[in-house]
Amino acid sequence: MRRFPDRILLLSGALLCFATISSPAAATSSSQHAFAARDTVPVLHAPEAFHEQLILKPMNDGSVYSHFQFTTHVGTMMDEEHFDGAASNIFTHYNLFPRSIGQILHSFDVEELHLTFTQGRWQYGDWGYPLAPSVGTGVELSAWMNDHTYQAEANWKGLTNTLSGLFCASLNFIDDTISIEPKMAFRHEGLYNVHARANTSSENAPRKLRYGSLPHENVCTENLTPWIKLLPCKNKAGIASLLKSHKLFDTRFYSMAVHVRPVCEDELCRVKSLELTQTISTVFDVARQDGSYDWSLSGLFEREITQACPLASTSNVIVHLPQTTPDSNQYQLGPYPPHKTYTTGAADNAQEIAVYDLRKTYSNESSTPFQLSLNWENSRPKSAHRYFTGFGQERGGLSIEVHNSDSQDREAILLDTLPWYLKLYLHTFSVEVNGKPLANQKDVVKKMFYQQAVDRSRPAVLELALNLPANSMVKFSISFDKVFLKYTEHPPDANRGFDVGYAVVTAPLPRQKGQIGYGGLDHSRVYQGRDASLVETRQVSSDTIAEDERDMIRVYTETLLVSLPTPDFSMPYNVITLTCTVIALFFGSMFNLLTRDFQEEEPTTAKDVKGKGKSKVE
Amino acid sequence: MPADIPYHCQTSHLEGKLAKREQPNTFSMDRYRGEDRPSNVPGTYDFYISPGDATRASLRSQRQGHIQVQSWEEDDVVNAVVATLEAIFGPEERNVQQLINVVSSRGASKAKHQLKAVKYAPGYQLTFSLFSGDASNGVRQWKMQEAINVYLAPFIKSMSVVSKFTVESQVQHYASLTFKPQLDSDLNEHYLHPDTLPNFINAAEWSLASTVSSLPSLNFLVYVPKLSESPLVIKSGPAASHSSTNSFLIPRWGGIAILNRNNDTFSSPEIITIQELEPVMSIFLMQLRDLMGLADLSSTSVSSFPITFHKSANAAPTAWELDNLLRRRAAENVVDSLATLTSLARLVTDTPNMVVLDHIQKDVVDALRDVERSCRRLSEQGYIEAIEASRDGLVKSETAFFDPTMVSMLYFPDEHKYAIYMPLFVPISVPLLMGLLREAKKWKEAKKSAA
Repeated sequence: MRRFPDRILLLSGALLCFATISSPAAATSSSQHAFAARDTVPVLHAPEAFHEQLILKPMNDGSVYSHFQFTTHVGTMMDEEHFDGAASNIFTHYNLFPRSIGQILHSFDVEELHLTFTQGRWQYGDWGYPLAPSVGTGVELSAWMNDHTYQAEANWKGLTNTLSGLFCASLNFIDDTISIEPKMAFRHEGLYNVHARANTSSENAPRKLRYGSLPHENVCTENLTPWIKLLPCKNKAGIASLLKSHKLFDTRFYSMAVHVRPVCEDELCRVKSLELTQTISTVFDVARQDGSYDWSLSGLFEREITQACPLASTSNVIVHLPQTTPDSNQYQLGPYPPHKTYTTGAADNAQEIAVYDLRKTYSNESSTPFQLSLNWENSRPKSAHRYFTGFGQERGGLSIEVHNSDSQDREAILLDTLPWYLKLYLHTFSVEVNGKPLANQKDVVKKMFYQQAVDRSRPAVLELALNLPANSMVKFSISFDKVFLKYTEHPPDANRGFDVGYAVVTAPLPRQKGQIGYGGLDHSRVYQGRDASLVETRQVSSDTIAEDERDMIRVYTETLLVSLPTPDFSMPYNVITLTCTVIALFFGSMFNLLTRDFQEEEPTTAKDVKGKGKSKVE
Repeated sequence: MPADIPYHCQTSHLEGKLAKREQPNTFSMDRYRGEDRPSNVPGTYDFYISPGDATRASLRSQRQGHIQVQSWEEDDVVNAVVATLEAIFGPEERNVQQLINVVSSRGASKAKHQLKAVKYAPGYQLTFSLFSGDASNGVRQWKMQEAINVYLAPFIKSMSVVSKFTVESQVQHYASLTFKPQLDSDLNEHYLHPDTLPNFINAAEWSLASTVSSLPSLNFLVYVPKLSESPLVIKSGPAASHSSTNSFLIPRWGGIAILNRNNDTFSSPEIITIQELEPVMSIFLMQLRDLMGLADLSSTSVSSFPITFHKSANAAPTAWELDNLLRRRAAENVVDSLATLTSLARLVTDTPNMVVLDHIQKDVVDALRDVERSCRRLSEQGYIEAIEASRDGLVKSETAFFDPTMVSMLYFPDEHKYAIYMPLFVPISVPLLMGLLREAKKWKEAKKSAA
């Protein structure tokens, strides 16, 4: 009799952990049953690792591009025999992986998360393609969510609100009127559905993509501070100690991102892990102060690296050396020589890369700051550069220009989101190629997805699968009407106008030789060189991969301001005042009419008539 | 003013128990010798009385007690039983009485244990965090997951009837203090003065808050100081003696333990082992008991003869403690929800132009019904149902009180209305005033001419 309730408890515990495996979404609240589960499921220790990297690249216009990249991997041991489901400790016991991100992923069933804060505009013409995948001005958030329980809508709302609190940004304004679900752009970046994997057929599990952007969001220190808190070493040691908000925001371009995606740890993808990548990209205008193109780490960041982050498995500073004629020593790099040098690409496109390994620099307990500088002997050489595509966006009505300066036809996907207060007329949609109207749009627009806007609930989405002819400028135009908004719907600074977000062009481009970094969106090779630096990863791939190797590149257009008819906001009060005055006048005259009586009086003199024309008779 | 509310909740369990005091006298010896079966009903306890050389009592971890009496004299037996029951239930009754007094006499200070304990919730989030001062101490990992399974699991299992727990752990490296500990150069150790302890938590930099959890969270911190600041102890001055546990509790927030490691004695200084965590976990368990409001009967009871309280393994609450906790928590909830409803009633009477929507009335009625149900269940010994009902009542009374529709109405004062109608009132008042003046003049003239 006494034993019986105990057994029931045990049974229910076992039953519950079975339930957690079969329906992971329901497991959120049942962590206390994990104890029972851990007795039966072997706890596997999956690898957890942290990598940090700083890439410095002098640009052709003299500015210096710096790209910080911090990667945290947390293993999940998701091979078929040892799947440990929601009972897995990944979202309960944290070490290097930040708890705040883990909790968000877990409670909102997020499989992939991409959040980017950007200030300034990336100059494709001068700077080429960025290493970071997203550079649209403002804030961009996209997430793939598991939709097993059909709660993706609610989860997206919760996600934006929570991230808003975490990063001190107005992400909660990404509501239904802004959020969209792209059909062709922004595909999966990760490989596997990691934590919510119920069974082996999870490839077909329902997932929902949500995407939203806030073009008018300012990025500042209050967003950077929580971002730094996610790093295992904070900004106390390692490369991150260079992060000083003072200097970072005094740049031509600043972008900060958090990407979470599931990746493979080995070639067969038996072991999967969750990857958190945090990046900061900045473009420093070094010549602005004294006209010289020389730069050093301490000059750029006003900070120094005095110790390596002991938690990092790799800790590298990578410098793209400027392209110069092979024989002449036009610049000096210090300290010289670096720990490793590579040359990627061939002939004209050769790119020399120097690598400094901070773990080696600080291996002998020294605490001298790491000094890195590049000084030009003579004047900087000018080099011509050829660019593949350039993009412009003008909207008188609305027109988008896409340039393809390649000698081949290229495929691309154009995604444009327009707020509901711009009423698009789809019949006015026209395509011009090199300034000439195109009779058959099918030649360029292979597929079109258009979502009609609904007032106050969802935006209009225009998604085009394009085939861009070689050496062409394709111009899309469409006209719209501006809507009268209710006066409460205007922002406090109503006359400034409304921000309309950027359009995004996603294109598979042939890998540029020598290009390194996170830039590409295709991650089928992410398992490669897990312990190696990115340079090595890409070097391996450039040797072994065929000529037609492509990276998915996203290109962002400018954000726009559109001014809508602005009402006179003092109008309601004016109306009240006017109406009241009219009523008061009416009342006054009625009152006088009723309370006074008028009698005719013999006019005596002209003066009297003037003065006492309507005098009251006693 | 709970007295105004027509529901009268009597904490009558003690009377109930005392009334039962005849029962132990009529126990049958064969039952005592027979199956040792504790009561499964909360609030019903079996006492076995046997003669012995001295009067003493002991309580098992289940709902059983044993009283040894000196003789079978009726007075002796009755006195021993009464004294034992008073020792066990007396403090609890006084506690509840005090709770009611505090509310009715508004503003009086709460009992000490109540300040420490967190507010009742059906679930709590426990977060165990390792804070490492800097990388110099070499700490990289800890075996907290295993330690939780070994030390905390029994506690959580037995507490699950009252509240559920979710457990998390995290490691934070490079966690610096906001101030520098003082140095005791004689002993070559650093110390924290008890006065500085409230500033110990570096709230700006330590990630302790949960981003998503809606459950109230309790934090337990293990702080490993950096090499240049270790060993770190808590004492009030250079000559004073150490705090024996090197730990402290922050009321309603959590517990902190400082762990000084001697790197030479461990084979792997990078990992904090379960053996190292054992003393820390026992401190945390005691702190968790305090935070949960579990009363330690052995420390509160006063009696003329020795009473032994048996404990269960790993500080898990015994059936006695659980029953005590359930009763006290239910009483707290009932008192709290009645206090909230009273304030709401006062608020509504004090602000007549506030709009009170129908659903608020419904919440209030439901809350009162839940309070009544809770009281009924308490007297029927259905403690679990009682605490659930009292919780529902508390939640409903708070939703009614914090309803957003009522707050917004508070901020629309009459002055605004006057301002809006000013353009109407002023021009209208001009002919009225003029007429009044004229009438006054006429009246004066009439008076003068009459005189």
